[in-house]
Amino acid sequence: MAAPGKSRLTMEQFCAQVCARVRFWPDHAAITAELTAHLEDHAAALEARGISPEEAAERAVSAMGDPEVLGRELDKSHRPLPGWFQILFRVSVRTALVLLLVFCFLPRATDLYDLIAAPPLYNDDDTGVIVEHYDQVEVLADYRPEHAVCYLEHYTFSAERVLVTPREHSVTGEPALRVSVLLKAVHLNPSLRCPRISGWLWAEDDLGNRYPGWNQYDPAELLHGLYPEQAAAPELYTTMGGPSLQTPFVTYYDVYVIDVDPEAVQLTLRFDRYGKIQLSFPLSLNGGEAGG
Amino acid sequence: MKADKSLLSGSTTLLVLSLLSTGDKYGYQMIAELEEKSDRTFSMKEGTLYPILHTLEKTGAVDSYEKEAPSGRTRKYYHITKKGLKLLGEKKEEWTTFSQAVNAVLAGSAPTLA
Repeated sequence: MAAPGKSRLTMEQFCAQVCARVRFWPDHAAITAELTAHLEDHAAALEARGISPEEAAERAVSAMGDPEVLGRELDKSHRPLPGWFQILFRVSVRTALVLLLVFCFLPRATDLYDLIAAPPLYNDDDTGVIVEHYDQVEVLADYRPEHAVCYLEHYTFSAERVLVTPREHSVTGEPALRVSVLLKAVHLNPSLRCPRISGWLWAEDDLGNRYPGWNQYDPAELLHGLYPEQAAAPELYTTMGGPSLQTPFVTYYDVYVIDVDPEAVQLTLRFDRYGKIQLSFPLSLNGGEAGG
Repeated sequence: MKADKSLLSGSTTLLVLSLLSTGDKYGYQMIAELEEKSDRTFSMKEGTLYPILHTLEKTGAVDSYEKEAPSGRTRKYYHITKKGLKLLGEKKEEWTTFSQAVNAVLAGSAPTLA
């Protein structure tokens, strides 16, 4: 049995006496919190049996045993040296993470800031920008084709505007053309707007050059890998298109073909899907009627 | 019957681990359950529990997390790990061997006691 003086400790005094024996002070708060919760739980259980709060607290403290013995025992599992090493380890891991974040993401953040502060004036892969900076761009042809309309499975496709601008060949750097087409697709059913044309879109010019579509490159490469004899090696993609604007019945597509042979006078935009559905738009590269 | 202290000390780790093997518990809950299950045989000093728990946590046999109880008091819950379950198995086996040996000796000396 503990000495009478010791059993009259309050919960705070008990915890303080325990912690006095634990040399690693950073753990004092956690030990105090845990022991206090235990003492309060025990006292609450005793109070529920009709014992006065003062006596319940006293009994809870004395049930814990000698604080000095407990403190010495706890000191064994809260050794100062491993404790400080653990803290050092945690701090260095956190510092390393912060440094990593700063060095990996700060350059990107500044890039983004530069982009926002000074946006590029001219991005030659965007048809909208050509229209926006019309006076700064050399335009070889800009017209609305007369008879470039096709009907297919209740869709009406039409070329609304054709823009021909000079652009260096993306691989060789030699002079070439870029042909931008605003393609319009109309369907009576609003839920059938925006047909996905990008997979079966490609182009061909009057000299016999082919400009395969962007989404046709990967399958062509795969086929060439499987049957190198039969399937030709794919050329770099040169025909692209994506929906740009949607209204309930109409979808506009920004379609463009790059690296077009500057000698060509006519370009035919083609869609064929598994060889079944075929659509084609002959477009003049000099303006006016195609095929004339 | 109250158990002798020295008899208790060696097996406290086994008791703590086996209490935790049925679910996550906080300190006072374990004491209360121990008293209830053992019919007050183990009326040890409640403080003894914490050095054992903290040592088990250091060796990785249990881990702990803090959770707020419905009463608003934050309690430190202990959870037995895979390593702890393995340790429990070993301790149980040790205990069974030990108690069988003690029983065998007691059975041998029984006639003289009678």
